[in-house]
Amino acid sequence: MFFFIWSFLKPTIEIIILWIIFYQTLVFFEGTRSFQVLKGMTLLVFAFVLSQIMGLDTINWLLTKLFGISIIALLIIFQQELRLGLARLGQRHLFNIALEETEVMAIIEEIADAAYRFSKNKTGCIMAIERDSKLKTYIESGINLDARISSELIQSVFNHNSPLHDGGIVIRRDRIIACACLFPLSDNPSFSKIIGTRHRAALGLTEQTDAIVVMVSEESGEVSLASDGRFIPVINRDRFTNILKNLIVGNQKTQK
Amino acid sequence: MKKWLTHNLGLKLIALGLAIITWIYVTGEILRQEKRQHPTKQERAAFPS
Repeated sequence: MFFFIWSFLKPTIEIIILWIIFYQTLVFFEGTRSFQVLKGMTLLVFAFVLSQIMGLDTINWLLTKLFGISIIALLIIFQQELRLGLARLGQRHLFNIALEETEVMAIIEEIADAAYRFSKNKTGCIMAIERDSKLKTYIESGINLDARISSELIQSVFNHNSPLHDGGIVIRRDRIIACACLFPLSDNPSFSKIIGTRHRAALGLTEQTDAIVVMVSEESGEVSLASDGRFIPVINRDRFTNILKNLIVGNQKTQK
Repeated sequence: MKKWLTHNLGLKLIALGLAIITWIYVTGEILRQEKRQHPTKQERAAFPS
């Protein structure tokens, strides 16, 4: 009896596990440039199944040979995403001391205060908040600061007369680690070509790492957030604070 | 429950389709390999050693 039930349960469990893996992979790639490539590959898989069912031997032979070399092609096409995915999977800190929620709120208040002052004065800025993925490469491109975060310090850094105002700052926990850092530009075709370099840099960094980026536009004074290669709409300061809190505190909770 | 089902429904359906196709294909390959390694009595009789 048990064997009979197990013979039905086993394939169901296997399909459910495969379903979860494929779904999480698709969600991971959604919104990125590689998603278009993934869609193309999915279409090829369905074409392969159809050719099998309809007995189209030539198409079937061609697709079989194509899939044979696809592993190497996949590694080359998705190397950035694979690196990021493996880094996220592997970064489970054993002795990670998460910040208390009150400490996180204090840090967010400093960032929000600086951002909304910049918004009033139309001073451009870009601030990257490090999470699991270390931003060592980008920190090394800038100038070491390693000072406790405060709204006044952020305002000093992004002051037009300051030699440190070009580039972005990297925030790790409650400290500004570096300033004048260079962030990679996104070349995602789904975003309008008229978005500025600052916004492209924010997208580029969030595509390659799990950092959260806060930007203030020099032209409009608009405050924006970016995460996972996407902009997050921010209507006002309260919403900004709430979104940032959910992103930082939520991330700390998933590590536990 | 309804929200979970309708959220990203397209991706979920595509993922389910891929999961089923993968399972059927891999199971077929495994059965074919097992058949090659352990041929039936009839198959063995057809090719006596």
